[in-house]
Amino acid sequence: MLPEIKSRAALRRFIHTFPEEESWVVVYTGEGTSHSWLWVGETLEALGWKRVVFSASLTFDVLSGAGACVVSGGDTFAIAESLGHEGATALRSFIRSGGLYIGTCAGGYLVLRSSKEPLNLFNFIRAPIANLREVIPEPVRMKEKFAQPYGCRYVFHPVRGEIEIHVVKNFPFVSKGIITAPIYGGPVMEETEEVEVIARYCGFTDKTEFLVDREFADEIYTGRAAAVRAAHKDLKIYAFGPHIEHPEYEEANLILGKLLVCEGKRTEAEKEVSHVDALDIHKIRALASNLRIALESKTRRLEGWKGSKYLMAYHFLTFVNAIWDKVRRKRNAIALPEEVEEVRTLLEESLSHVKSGELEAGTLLSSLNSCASHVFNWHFRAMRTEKRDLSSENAAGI
Amino acid sequence: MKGRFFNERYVVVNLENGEIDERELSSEVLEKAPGGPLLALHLLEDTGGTAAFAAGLFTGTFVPASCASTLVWLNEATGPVVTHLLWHTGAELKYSGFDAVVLKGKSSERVYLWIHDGICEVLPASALNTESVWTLVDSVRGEHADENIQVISYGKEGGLKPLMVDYWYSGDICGAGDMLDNLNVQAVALRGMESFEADEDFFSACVELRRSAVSEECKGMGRVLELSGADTGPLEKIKERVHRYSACFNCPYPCQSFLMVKDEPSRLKESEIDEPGFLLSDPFQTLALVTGGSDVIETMWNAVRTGTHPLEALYHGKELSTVVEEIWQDVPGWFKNFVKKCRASLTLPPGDCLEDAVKRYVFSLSAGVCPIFTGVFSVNLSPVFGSIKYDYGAFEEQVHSTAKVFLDAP
Repeated sequence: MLPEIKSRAALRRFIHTFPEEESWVVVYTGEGTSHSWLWVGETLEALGWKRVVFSASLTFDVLSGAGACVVSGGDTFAIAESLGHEGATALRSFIRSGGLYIGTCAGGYLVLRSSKEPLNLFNFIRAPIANLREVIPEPVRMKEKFAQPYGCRYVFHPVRGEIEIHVVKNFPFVSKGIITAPIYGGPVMEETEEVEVIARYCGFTDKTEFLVDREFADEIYTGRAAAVRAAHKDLKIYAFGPHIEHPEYEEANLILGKLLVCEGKRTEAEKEVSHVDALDIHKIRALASNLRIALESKTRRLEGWKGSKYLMAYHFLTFVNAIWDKVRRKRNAIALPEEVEEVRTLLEESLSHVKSGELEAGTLLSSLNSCASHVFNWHFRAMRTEKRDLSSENAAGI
Repeated sequence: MKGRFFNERYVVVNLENGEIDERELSSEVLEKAPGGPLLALHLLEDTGGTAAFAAGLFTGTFVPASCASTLVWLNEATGPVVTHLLWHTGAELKYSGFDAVVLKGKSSERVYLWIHDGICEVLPASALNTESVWTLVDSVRGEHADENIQVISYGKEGGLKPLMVDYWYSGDICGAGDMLDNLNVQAVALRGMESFEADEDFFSACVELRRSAVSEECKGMGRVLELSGADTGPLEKIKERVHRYSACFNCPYPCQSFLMVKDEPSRLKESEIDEPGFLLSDPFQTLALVTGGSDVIETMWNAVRTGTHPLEALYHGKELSTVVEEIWQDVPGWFKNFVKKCRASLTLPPGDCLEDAVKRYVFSLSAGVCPIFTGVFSVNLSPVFGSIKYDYGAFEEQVHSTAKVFLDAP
């Protein structure tokens, strides 16, 4: 049973005091994910969680030895397509063997039952989507973000930004009460016998952005499930509509952190890349800086980009700045030489495309995503080599 | 001192072997040498370098006109020489992640420095278009795909190559361009996205200073010179060509005038003509413009483009030192006043270079504030120092002892 913990700093101290509670977490960073996986990385770092692997695939190999798997936001169809049959089988096996699955936004949608291919590979729990209709109202803003076709119907999202959720069940990891969390297209779920409702949408705040009129938004959200878990006690599947991993929402982050502590499968398996020397990444630093400067300049003139999801220029900068943030002060990285080489090549190619103006948004985003995934792995590896210094943790206060 | 005003890092570039040495700048050093010429001199002595760029204490902050950085180099004949970097270049130096950049040795090949985000790269200059200062700036910006890159360079012509900041004349009359040319450094390009948090008291003091400073109407270099006692008559010649006014980083006074040379000054749309005019950014240009003949505006336009000192361009074939010596006696009083107030320079005849003027100049650059702002407008920075609990008197004392180094130079 977890003691009463009300802040990230307190949870961080708990995790440092009881490192055996820290299971390995696999964060999916592959095709279809948005920059929200970066939030997972930032929040886990803020919680002092060091056993994290960022992976572009979810295979048996990747998930073996992991205690938890987090799939955050993005394009659910693209994620499902990328993971494919192999990913679905590996994930199913992982969950059946006691692994914890946490899906937020697209990662939440992913595990809900669907008749559509390839989503039907991931029919893990049944909680019908309430924000799915044949006829939807005309949005008053952000039309490109409002709805996506789903067969002959539309999945639509009446609000963006901050939303209130009411945690309705006392779980070991979280106590009842109202908290705020951001929502950028997450599911609104109906209750069934296959799920237990953890939290319900209960209100809006002054940071809620309404894409339709408030009354309609109220009708869709209020009282419906914002977070569910599989009712079967042996299946640790959690689906969240809001982004509980967003680093600016401490109370929501506590749900993520406590969930990992309490529900993450303990494992002794070693996920560490062994015998890796610290490699000089001066060139990577320079490339990352050059790229962010060039992108900062170019993206001012970029229009939004429509794939199956609508992306905007700031997505590129978010990735490149996250890469920069992790390499800026480091001269060395605990990385495999081939990883450094791959990141260098991807950054060089991206820079060359940005400079020449031949900017293919999909390729660029995919390259940046891949680089960021590697760089986050280097960063967390480096964190794991650092000595656990409880005195500094104490100094951080609770 | 309350607050953080420096990156607390500097870089030593060994041009001989291309080695880049990023170093910490300790609080002890910053206490002894808090920016500008003070810091540059200290680091030159400490590292055995030949030239150092250094940001001032307040460079790139909320302090009005905190646009100034410094370039100091060691000249065997004259001793240490100091010049300023204003426009947006001074602030960009600090944002680039370093408080100072020290150059050591001489490069065997033509290179340029690309300083960004706390990283310094020495790159071959062969890819740059050095046809003119303007093509050089464009090619550096094109190479790194960002129009906000600040470029320090110099031209190819003339006996004394003044420093150019971006497309414009920096006001340097010490031949900083010659010095960089000798080191085989074609340009220094700066870009960074650092930011500094501002304490509330400091912010309020800056706002108050700005409020009190902007009470006086000032637009264009002509007005700055009028405040120094210039006759308004000859300045009319400039005013009729003014297209717009520009200010350096965070300055309430847009004292720089863009003169339209090849298009109509009244034009509001962007000119379709390439290189339609130039920025009148320094009183030497103004002096040349009011004393020159009918084609002087075209000559000045070309001087900026090629990076030639305005007086050398005007007195074609004569070196600047000769020109200054020859014309100094006939230079109008307002110009001398201006120089004494804010542009004290060791290349001017010694009798006219007052100790106080040098001290004021070194003070402004050490603080990181434009010398025109503190000199011509007599702006008092002591409340800003007070807001961060910095001993203004001690700072002044440090400045005066450093100014002596420049005054005592042979």
